[in-house]
Amino acid sequence: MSLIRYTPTPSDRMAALWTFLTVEDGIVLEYGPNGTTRFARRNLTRFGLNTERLISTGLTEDDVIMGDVSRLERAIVQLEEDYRPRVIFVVPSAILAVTGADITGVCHYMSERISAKLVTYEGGFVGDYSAGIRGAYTKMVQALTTDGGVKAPNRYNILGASVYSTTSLYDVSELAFLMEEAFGAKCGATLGMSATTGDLAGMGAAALNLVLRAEALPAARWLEEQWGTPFVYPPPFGVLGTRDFLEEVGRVLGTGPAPRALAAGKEPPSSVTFPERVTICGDYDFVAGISALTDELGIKEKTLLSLHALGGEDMEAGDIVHPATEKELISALGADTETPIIADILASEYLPAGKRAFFAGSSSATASAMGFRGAMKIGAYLSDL
Amino acid sequence: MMNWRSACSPSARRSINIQELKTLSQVRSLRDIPPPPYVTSCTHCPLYTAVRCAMGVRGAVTVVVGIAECAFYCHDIAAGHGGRSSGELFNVVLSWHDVTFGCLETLGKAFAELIDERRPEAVFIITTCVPEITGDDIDAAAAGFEAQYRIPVVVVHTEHFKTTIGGESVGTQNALAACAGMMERTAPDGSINLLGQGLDDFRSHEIWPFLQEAGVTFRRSIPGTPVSGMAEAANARLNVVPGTSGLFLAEEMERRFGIPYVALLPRISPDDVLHTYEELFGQLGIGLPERVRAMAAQAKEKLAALDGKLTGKSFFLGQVEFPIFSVTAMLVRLGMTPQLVQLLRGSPAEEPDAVNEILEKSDPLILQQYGDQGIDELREKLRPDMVIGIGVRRQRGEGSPGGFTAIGKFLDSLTAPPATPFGGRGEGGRGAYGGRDRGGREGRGGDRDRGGRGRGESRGPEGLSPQGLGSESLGSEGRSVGVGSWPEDGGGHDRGAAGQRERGGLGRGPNREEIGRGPEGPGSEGPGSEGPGRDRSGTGAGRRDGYRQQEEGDGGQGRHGDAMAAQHGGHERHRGGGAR
Repeated sequence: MSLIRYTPTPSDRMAALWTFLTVEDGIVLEYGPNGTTRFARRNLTRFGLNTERLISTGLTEDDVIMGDVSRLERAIVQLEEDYRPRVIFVVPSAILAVTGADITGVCHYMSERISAKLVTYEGGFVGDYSAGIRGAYTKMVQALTTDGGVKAPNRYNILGASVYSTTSLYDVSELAFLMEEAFGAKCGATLGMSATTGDLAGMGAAALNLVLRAEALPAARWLEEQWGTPFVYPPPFGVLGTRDFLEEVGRVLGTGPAPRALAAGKEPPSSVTFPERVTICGDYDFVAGISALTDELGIKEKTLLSLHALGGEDMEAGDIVHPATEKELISALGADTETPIIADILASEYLPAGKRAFFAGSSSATASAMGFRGAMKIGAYLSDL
Repeated sequence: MMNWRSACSPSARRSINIQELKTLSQVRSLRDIPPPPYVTSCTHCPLYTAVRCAMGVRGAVTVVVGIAECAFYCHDIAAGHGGRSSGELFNVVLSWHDVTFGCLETLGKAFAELIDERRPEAVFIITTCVPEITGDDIDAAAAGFEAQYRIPVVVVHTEHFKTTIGGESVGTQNALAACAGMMERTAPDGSINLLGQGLDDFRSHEIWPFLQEAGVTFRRSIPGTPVSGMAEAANARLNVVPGTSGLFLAEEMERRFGIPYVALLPRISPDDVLHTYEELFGQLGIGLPERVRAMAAQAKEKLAALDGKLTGKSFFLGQVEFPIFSVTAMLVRLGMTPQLVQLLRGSPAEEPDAVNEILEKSDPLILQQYGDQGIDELREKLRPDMVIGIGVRRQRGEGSPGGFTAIGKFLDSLTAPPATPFGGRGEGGRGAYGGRDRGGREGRGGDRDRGGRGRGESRGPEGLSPQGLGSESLGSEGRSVGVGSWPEDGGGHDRGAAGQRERGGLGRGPNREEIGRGPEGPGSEGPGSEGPGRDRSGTGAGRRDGYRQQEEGDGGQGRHGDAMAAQHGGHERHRGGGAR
């Protein structure tokens, strides 16, 4: 890795922490130095998470050198005794990843001694936050979902929201609006944003899973295989994209979208002009979605930049690039001062001062880029240039 | 948002078996004290203090070598304390390849990039846990960089797993000690340095006016001296060290350059303080002012006046600015009985005389950190008459009046009436020297309320809570601060004179209570909305002499993106509550 000047890309382990913390009645136990947990608490509070539930085992030099895991065993037993949590997520620190402690093995035999479910995430050095989100989603659905009893025909779950994403909250709201308008459907659980173990247990009863980002596809596939719940992906970007999305959802639900909902999508009049080029920067699905949206607007020349590594078969890179170094990202964003930029607010610090851009998730863009409304908002921004 | 505790268990409660705890006679070092099974009130990593200290040296840039998390959190520190997220702080993020095959090649490339872009006057390289475990010889690499680029390159080691709970101050001490690597003794100039404290803070020390009257001036204070002035610090004839922060640097300068030092460390014995002042004025070649001797006499009288007043009272002792066993021994001499001593720094071996004196009369329990519930349970079980220094933010000595004044304040607090000038509307009350409100109500007007985790506390600069009133019920929400640790960073607390305030907005459930308790202004009140919230990051942490005050809390700034966004056109990140 080269020199980092700005905020570094979060690690997979950090993503696991913030994802597990969205389970409101679970405990996240960091097996590591308590200073690491303090740092995490401080940061994750800013994500709207209740970090009181993030607890540390503490770790000393003796534990590191001797490979003693009794501290972890004691913590699990005591937490069970003190709080009777329904689930304890165990996340070892990077130090343990280096020393190679078998945390999964420990939790395997410890699970026989307590009633809470033990879910481990042994990451660290397996990638950035994208990998961590993917791993955490999968662990959560595998450990905490059930068939949920009788299928609810008008209920769906959302997979792929993330507290780290600046736009997730708006995206979830927009999806809820679309699903209500088009099908009168209600959201059951939102994985990765806010849910109880009860919510997650009921996920199997939903008729449909909506997948917001590619990292949630392994979890969606598991839910489909295990509980027979189909899923729809990609999320709705652009007017045509949103129509396609609603029709696909309708096909799965066995009912067409309400005409009123479809009528809300209006393509721009032919008199409106758009720039010839655009740079898009953000998470993979944001970039892919906005790229599809700008395709509809006839914008063909694009620089597509992902803020995280493009991992796995679920992310077709195509023209999307994850710059290998921060310097390359800065260079790509600042290279052409004339090209308009649509970016996640997280990318703002890499832009040259004064460079004009549309920042999703910023105070000036308090809405999702998804759905008909998002398409029109982005279209309006680009047509004004 | 549900109350997670009740969600987990309506009667969640840690049960402590007192028989399993160690007593003083069984403890020689911190390692002898069994750690708690888990930690809910986490203390800082030395990286935190090291970064803040290094970033205070103007002209130098800081490079943190570690994993992505350490890098991410460091930038948050920088953004939260008035520093830019770039410009002063850089990172080298280690990949699995670096861990497996060594990180020196990566570090070398990054260093070349840094020199090419910034051309700094000096560089602090701060190592973290992972490179310390893998064993890369970063000191050797730094020496190579120094020779290659002809600038001082110093290394600060901050492996957290080697420090004990409460050992984060080692980061400051090591970072300051590393400054010796930027010094060069050329022509001794007879000057005096102040180490470990900015000059502004030292002005509040009781000895300052006497030094002023004697015409003593400090040419440099470290921190506070830029790289350009650091080299000549080695030309001084004496170093004065007002607290522990500068102790390592003083020792290093004595070792390298033969410069003697006088450490004005907090002492509970008036005689010890007097001896320190005699040594200081002796080194300065000035006679000790009679008024200083009079202050010593006053402190002794104050101590003597306590004789018989506290006899038979039992107590818990947590963090105080003095050596903890010396304080315990003094209280034992006053006829008091220590039931529990919380040891976060040092060890019994460092104060053998005091320990022996205590053991002649009693054998108190020794704890490191046991979490909020744990300490509450012990209080309920053991029912101490007084709780001293537990449940409040720690004081470090720096910035305090020091010497006899500090002793006097401490002694006064032992007999202070329950009514408190600092607020503390709870029924428990506390002494004038601060302490913990046991009544479960919001405390206000403390020295600097840091937005603790519960509703039932009020804090002052030092904790001392005479038992008696309100002792029947601690209040379930009164256990808000970890034993003797700094309260968790809830955000929303002030940051000093030029301080930054935060509007909460993020908070859901308990977090909303964390946010915005700063007593110094309305801006610190957090609205804590359930819906999409918004962080606002201020700027301008209190910075004096180039040094960001460590006594101030962390936390309080918005998410990293906010600080950055502010630089790029005022965009804020949005953050909100639940999706459902």
